[in-house]
Amino acid sequence: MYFLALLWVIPLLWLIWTAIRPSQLATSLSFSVDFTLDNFIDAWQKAPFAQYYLNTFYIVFGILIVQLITATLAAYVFARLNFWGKKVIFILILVQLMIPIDVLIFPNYNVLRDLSLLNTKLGIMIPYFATAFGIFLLRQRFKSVPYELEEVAKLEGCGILETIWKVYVPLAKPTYIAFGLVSVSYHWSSFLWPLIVTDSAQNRPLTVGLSLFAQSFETGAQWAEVSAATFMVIFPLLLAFFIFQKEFISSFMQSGIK
Amino acid sequence: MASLKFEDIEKNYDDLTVVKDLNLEINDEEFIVFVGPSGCGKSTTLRIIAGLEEISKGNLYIGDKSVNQVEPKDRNVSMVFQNYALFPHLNVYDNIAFGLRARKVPEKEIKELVTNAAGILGIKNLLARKPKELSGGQQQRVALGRSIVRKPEVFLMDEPLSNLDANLKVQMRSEITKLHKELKTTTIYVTHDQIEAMTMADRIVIMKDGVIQQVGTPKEVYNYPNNVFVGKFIGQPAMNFINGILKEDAFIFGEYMLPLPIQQIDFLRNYIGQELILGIRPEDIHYEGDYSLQKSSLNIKVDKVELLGSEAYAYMNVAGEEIISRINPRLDIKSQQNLNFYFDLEWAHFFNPKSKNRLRKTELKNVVNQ
Repeated sequence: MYFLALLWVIPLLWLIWTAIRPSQLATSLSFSVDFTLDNFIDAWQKAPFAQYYLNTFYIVFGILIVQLITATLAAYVFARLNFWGKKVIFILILVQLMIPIDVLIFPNYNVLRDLSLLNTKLGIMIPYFATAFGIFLLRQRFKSVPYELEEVAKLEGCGILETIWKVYVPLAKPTYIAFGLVSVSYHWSSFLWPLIVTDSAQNRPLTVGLSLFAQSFETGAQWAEVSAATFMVIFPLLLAFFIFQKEFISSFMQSGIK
Repeated sequence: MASLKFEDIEKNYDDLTVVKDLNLEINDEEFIVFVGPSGCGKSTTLRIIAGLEEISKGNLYIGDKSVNQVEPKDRNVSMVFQNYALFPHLNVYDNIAFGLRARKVPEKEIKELVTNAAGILGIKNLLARKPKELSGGQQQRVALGRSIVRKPEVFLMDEPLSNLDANLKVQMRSEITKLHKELKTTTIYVTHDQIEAMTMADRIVIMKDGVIQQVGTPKEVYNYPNNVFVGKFIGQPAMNFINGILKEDAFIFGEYMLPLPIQQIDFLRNYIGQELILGIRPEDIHYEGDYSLQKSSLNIKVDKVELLGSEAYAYMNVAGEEIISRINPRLDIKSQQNLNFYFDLEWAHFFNPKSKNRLRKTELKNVVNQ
């Protein structure tokens, strides 16, 4: 068990190790007590990582906020309301889950071009504003809320939106956390789509920025600086996982206990 | 003014009619109990009052206002559910305050109202707890607290005591009655338990298959059931029903001949020669020593005896039907004994075997047509 965990952690350890060693010693196996933060400072200055950070935060959390709103409202509709064509529309939404994302890159690109949204952060975000995965998760969760709670809310004076906000949302907290973690980690690491949409540093997220940085050295890979840069890119995600691991586990356990 | 009026109310789900021809007037401050077997339409009727179900046909009035199109939150009613329906993510205080907050009542006033309601129900010490930390009885009190704190015009209760154990049921029954006396709010209570109906109601409404069978005070309904169904449903153990034929001066069933008192012979003169059903309650069939001298006593074999402590019941078989007699629990009656049982017909009734309606001396005012 521990052996497998060690195996998984080795690349990460190597990354950190290389990042804090002076660049001459990058690929050597010496264990001298020579540590430095120069690589981080160098990388930070060589490419506009600050801008990349800002872009990534903007994109990831922008997507998350809109997703939470659209998924909550859609989940409620599919969980509790009845209307003509409901089954068909729901199947269409599930179909989105089945389509490989790469197939949509070209059509989405064309739409962005027609909307003049190429090379913008909004362009990167738009295809992800509606999430079938989120709708599905939340619908399951909302369905398990006893209908009487909604009836009480109705009797006690709440309209539909107030009922969703005061009854369904608080009771779906573990689902929101689980979904949030999935969404953030997916979009933080998303590479291909932002690469295609952007061509200026102003709107580039960290993933794209990092790959350009890694390829920009004419004399071959500068492992130390690239390791430092990579570590800077993945660090927030790592931190989030460490902080939220209890929520992670408890959220999956809660949704299992019924 | 919190009277209610049902006018020709009907409720349909696609092809299924769940409530039909419902006409009823409920007076201000009354405690009305809707009772009947599962699926009789009583919960649906309650939900129609709350506005949680739409009315297919007819009119509903609360006070003098027609409320057919009025939203549940504007009807000024509150409801206690069978499963309490407390919000699991809120503590007791927030649960009770929920409706007040939705109506934007200022927090200071909310505090006063909630503490007051909690005091009435004896749950002041539980205000910080979450529902999952409470017992069933405590949760029920919180649900009651939530329903009274808004001071609505009508309390609706949907089988609130069904999930409680027997002792707690008895305790909560008297607490709800006490609450009603104190708050004087019109209360409409739904249950399948006829004991709750008998002990709590000002008037009982008995329903079967979506139709009202009888409306009356507990005494009226117990002593003058409109039909076989009501006779069987109200009272425990149930009323005995015996099929037989009416002759000139006796009711014949199986090998037994039951002589009839004079006044009933006059009343039943038109039915001589016809098949009728005799309905007689267990407490009106007596064994108390030797009744063989009495005219209306029959010699019947006891199949089994059930001792409940303060009461005992003898089970017998006459003309292929099982009948029950309430007997003195201190007597030593064994099964398979042949004993003389006296049939006290003062409170017995005859029923039409086809329509199952009670034969009456006079027309009584009610909502069921014969």
